[in-house]
Amino acid sequence: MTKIIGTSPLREDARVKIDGAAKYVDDLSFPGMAYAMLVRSPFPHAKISEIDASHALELPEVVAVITAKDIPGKNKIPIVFDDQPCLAEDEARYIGEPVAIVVANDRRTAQIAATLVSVKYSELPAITDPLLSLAEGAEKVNPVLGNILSRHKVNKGDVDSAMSIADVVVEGEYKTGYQEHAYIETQGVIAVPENEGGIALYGSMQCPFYIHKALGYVLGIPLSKLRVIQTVTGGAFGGKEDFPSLPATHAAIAAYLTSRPVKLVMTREEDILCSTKRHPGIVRIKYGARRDGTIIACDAEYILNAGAWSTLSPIVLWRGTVHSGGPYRIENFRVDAKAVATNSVPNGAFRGFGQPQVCFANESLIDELAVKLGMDPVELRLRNALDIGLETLTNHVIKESCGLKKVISLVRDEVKWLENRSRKERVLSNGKYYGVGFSAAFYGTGLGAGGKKIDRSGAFLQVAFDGSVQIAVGTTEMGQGHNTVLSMIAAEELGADVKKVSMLPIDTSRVPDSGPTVASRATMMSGQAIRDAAKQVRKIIHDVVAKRLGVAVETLEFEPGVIFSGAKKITFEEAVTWCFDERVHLAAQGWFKAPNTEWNSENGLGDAYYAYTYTAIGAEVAVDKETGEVEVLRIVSGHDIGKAINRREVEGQIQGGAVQGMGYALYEDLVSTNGKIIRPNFSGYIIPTAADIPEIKPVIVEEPYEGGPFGAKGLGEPPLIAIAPAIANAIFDAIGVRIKKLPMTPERILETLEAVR
Amino acid sequence: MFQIHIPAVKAFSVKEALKLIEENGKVLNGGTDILVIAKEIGISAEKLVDISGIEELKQIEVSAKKIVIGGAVTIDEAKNNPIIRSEFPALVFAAEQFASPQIRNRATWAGNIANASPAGDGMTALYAYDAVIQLRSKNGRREIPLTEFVKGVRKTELCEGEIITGIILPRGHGGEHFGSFIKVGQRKTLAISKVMVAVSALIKAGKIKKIGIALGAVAPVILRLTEVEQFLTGKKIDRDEAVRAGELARQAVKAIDDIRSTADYRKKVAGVIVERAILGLKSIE
Repeated sequence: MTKIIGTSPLREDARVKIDGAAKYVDDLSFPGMAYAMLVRSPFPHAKISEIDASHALELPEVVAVITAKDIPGKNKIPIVFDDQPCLAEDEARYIGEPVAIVVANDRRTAQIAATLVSVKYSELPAITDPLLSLAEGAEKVNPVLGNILSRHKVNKGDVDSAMSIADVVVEGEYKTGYQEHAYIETQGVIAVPENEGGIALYGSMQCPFYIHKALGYVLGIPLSKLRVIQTVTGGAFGGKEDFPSLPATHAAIAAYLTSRPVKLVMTREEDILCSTKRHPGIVRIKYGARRDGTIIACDAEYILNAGAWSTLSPIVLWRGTVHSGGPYRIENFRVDAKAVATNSVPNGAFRGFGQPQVCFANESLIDELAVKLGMDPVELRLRNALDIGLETLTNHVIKESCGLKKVISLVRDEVKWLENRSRKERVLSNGKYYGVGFSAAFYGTGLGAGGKKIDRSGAFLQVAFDGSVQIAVGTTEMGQGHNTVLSMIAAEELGADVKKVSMLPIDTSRVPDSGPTVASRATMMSGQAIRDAAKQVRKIIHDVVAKRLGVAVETLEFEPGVIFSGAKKITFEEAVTWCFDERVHLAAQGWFKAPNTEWNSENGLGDAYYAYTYTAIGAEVAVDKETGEVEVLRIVSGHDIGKAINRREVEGQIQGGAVQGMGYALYEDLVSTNGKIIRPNFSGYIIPTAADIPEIKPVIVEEPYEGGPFGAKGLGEPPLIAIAPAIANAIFDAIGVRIKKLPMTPERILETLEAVR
Repeated sequence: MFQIHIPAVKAFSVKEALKLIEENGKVLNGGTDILVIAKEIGISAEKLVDISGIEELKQIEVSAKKIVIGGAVTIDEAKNNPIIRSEFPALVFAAEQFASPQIRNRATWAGNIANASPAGDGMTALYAYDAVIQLRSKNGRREIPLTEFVKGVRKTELCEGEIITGIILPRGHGGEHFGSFIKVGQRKTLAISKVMVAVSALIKAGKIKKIGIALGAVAPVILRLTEVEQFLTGKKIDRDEAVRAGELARQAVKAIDDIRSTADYRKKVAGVIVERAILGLKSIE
């Protein structure tokens, strides 16, 4: 029986974030610090013939103006394909692309000076529509990779034959828009020159080791001279996975060349204009089923608008591809997916990572299929749901930890599906129409076959003289409760008091590389690495205790804070004192490698991931048929996560994901015309506020996964993924029209209502 | 030159404020609009002159025929005034839906007018009450009806060196005061309206004695729907009349496309909310 796992200790960072004591990057300064501002391209595509900095350099407070030719190392940002430059050289390929770095003694001068750098551009034709980019003879948008930045296919069985014998076939095209991360803290870094030619880079980030590598690229100096320190990070949601490498390299180059600390903090407008976003997507999908509801074929096409550079698009696309048919056993499955280059801001990682787009499509279409079959949509999902012994879309046979049917049933009951779905009176007292909708999803946790080479985690654990415990990992706290959850795992495994466990602040020179904090993997991967370290240290302690107590080590039992053997009992602190007396080393390194995944890139089949989180969502809405406004009344969000390490944190993730998913579904409309984002601020880009949030009821299912810490699987992303289709299905239930484009704004709803009239 | 970083000075009397403004200053009242403009595009002035603490502008004066809301009265302050609650209910309903509590505590009615956004919630309600603007400069004072004061998107009759010292609202007598205010935005609060309507009505013996209907956020200026008002005057409020009023409103509106919505949507929904606003007319207990 675990004592700490499954409880809800308070977040260790809660107090400092609430009382304002936490120091974010813009709260920090260093002696002699200068400020950097970027000169950015105002054109979606233009030739750069000359950069004249003379007017900017005339300002006495301006320190330097840096262009591509000044970069000491490579002008490349390493992500997947290394196609993106740190600074545009001959051509600019999207609005907001960095062209030069202005460094000044103060922020205000840097801002003014950036407007004084005169860049001679000659505009070139721009392609901002992915379908035009795919057209034959289209101008090459990305000079390194061409217009298809990445392509993935899966081909299982014989889709065409299966479709031809299906009793019922449904198909549809679904479109999804941009989504902006809208983290509270904008992107920001400070680069500080260190002795012997190194650079220390402080900043708001998810993946310090990504930045570490990028700094090595652009500065051309050994990684051993570089270190990256994560400052308290005010939200990320994927937006601080790949993107911070850009501002980090800009600041580092500036610091390296001027020998001064350089701060670079982006304004909100700059951040919305230039940082990565969720890829807009187009999904064409078709299901074929037997009369009894068995889905026998799925055929899909998936197109992502990637923007000018490839960033993480190949992996975002891959995750979407292998999940595109939904959490069902389907014998014949085919998908063709492309990430397409356009002259617009590069898109990147965002909670859900290519899945929300396909999930909106496939889960909307499942409901269409149910209509055509005359079947209850939940029944249809249950009939086809993945289960132990069944294989996923890519032929991965599920061997353990599959609570999909259970989570579907629990959410169905919690949302009072049968009763609400069959309500006779649909018009509410306020004149709005009531509807209830359902959706389901699966989510391969961790990097899986797509990111196999970096799917490992390191940890370090040491016990101090007073019995307090310090742990270190390279995954990061960004508001998700990472440090608290990992401290709980360390305390449980070691037998220490959770209040005495502390996480070492992230500094790449001091913490092990645990891989990136992405893919809902930190609890699972770093959790296992910490357990590995904790077990080793526990053994050292128990050996000493057994010897001193004069008992066999096998007889020792422990709980947090105490060790006992029969009636003999000592506290953890006493045991630690004994260990120090014995001069043993109370520290260990832990390591965890993700289980192997097998993948055939030819036919796209294999074990895409080692474990999956399973999701079911029930959403109740009220729709105003005359204004098109949708009010979400209640969301029931259920997830099989193996084990809830910290129950309150799990509920928080579920609720936060639901709100972000609601924003994606209904409100968040980033308008971009010819590659230019219109109104890049929070009066133009509308995210939900507290007033819009309905009751969100978390449903937690725990089907343990052997390979995870105490049975846990990942949870960071799943709560967002299937919200939009549940709402779309509820809208259909309420007013009988299907909205096939996100966000489902009042305008779109009225237009669709008119069209069917 | 347009400035993003601009100093501010605090004035303690209207006289002092006028003098400071003359020295290339711009008025800073609650700051909820001008600071956003300053950040986005800069301001062509040497300084901001903060008038939000001027005592003589913080008053709500009541006399037999009119009420005057001082130039520095915040949205929230007016909302709590007993005469406004009983005689200008649409103003209160608008104030309750205006932006967020934080903004309502700083933003002023005069500032909402000076900003002259057709999506101004406060201004739309003032349109429904035949508001007249009091202006003052070193050359003297003048008064001008709100409908004439606003010329277009962020364009007004405000002259250099002039400030809005008050907003005059004529008091209607001989009936009960009803009002309504409906806004449609992308979310429930803190959203700039896609379309909104404010209605003021004086009702006697169940019949509409006088009515003002103002439609905001659909066109470059707020619209008074005089045809609809004429149609309703003298009538009893019932569903048929409200539906007819909504249809008339829809026909009367020339709507625009912009980032927040489409002309088509605005036209359609304008009719819907006018109908609902008529049916939803109420007083504040």
